[in-house]
Amino acid sequence: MEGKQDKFIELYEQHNEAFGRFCRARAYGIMDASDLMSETLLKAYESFEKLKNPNAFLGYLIGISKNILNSKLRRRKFKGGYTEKLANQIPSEGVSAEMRMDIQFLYQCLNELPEQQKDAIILFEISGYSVKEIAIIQNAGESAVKQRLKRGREKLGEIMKNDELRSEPISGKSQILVSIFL
Amino acid sequence: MTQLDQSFQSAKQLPDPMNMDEVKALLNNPPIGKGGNKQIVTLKNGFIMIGIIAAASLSALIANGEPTPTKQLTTTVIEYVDDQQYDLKPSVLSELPETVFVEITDLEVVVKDNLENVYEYKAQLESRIIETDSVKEIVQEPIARQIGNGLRIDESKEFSITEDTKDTELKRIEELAKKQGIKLNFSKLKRKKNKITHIQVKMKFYDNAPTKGCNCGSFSINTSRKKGFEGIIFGWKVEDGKIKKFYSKDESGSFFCPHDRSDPEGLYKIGVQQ
Repeated sequence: MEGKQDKFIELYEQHNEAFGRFCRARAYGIMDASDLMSETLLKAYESFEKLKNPNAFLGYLIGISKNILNSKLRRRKFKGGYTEKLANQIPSEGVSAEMRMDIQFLYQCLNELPEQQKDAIILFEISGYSVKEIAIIQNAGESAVKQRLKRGREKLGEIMKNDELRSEPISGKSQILVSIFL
Repeated sequence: MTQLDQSFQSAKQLPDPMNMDEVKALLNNPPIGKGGNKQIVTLKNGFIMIGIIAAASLSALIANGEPTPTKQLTTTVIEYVDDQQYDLKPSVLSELPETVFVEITDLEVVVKDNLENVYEYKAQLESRIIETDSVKEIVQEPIARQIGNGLRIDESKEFSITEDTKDTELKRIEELAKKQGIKLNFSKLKRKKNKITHIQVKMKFYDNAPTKGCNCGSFSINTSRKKGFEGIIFGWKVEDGKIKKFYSKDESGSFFCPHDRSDPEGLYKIGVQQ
């Protein structure tokens, strides 16, 4: 038992921060990030003996967390809704109000991307994994991951710009439009 | 720095949802009943069953009007009696002999409402035994299906296609090859009465294949239309973790790509494409 735990911790320790950031970004609007993280870790630990290749550990964790999110989403279809409580998932300690808004806006926009692009962007830009590592996680070639990152960033830029335009007052909108045309 | 980059930077600065000490504590003391009071019980025959006591949902139902549950008491007894295997779906539970499972029984909920009134509820509940999605999702059974005339697909290096090989099996071989950096595809596939009569197998490396260590540009195997389909065996040789050769076999010998005349196995023939 001890041996299993030591081995698990040894493999997991290096990923804690990056995986935590992944959970935070991915869980936004669906469930609490720490719940996602703990449920994933418990499930991963439970079936840890079945993981034959330690190099696949990260993909194994990410896979489990996505399964948990998917099952939450399936259940939510029947409950309806995104609530205010879920929108306030970003912690306030050590983060300015402006930064919080910024992150919230980013997470909302990320949720509009296709699944694989969203994962690639979160893993690369927020968790800080390399293209090579993401290729292993996503079971794809590096060029495919690069393509996802490129398209994802472009799309994200567009979404952010459009959303900003929508939320601006009329005078602000005209200023943005003028700046685009200039 | 663009606005997008700034947002990513901000997201990176958020504190971790759990630090390592919390992770260790979680693994040492996993909460029982987390996620809807799930209790995982592994039985002798290898079945994993999850007994879910709906205490939380019942108390939520009872607690209409926002009283706060102060105490929940649940007892769970699952008794396994014989070694017989059952299909453990809720619909067949009633058909099982009563001795097999003693079902979850008493639920006691004490609820206090906003006016400090205390309510006690007692109920007899049946546990539900479910093959959960989560168990299925995590447990990855080794694929030990027999392909064609009997080579195991999970060995991942050699495959045999017979006239009975199904399309799903071909697809599975393609996926396994892809995992090893090999672009493998089956073309010119023809079937008569669901039996394969002709097939072409093409193998080459993906440009970014991590195990690329083979001098073979591409390798293709065509079955003979004249002789009729007799099945093919093909695969790749791995040395020091790298794929060195592609090959195919039939009763007259083996074709290797690249050629190696010093190889005792190399019963090469004209017609190997390189």
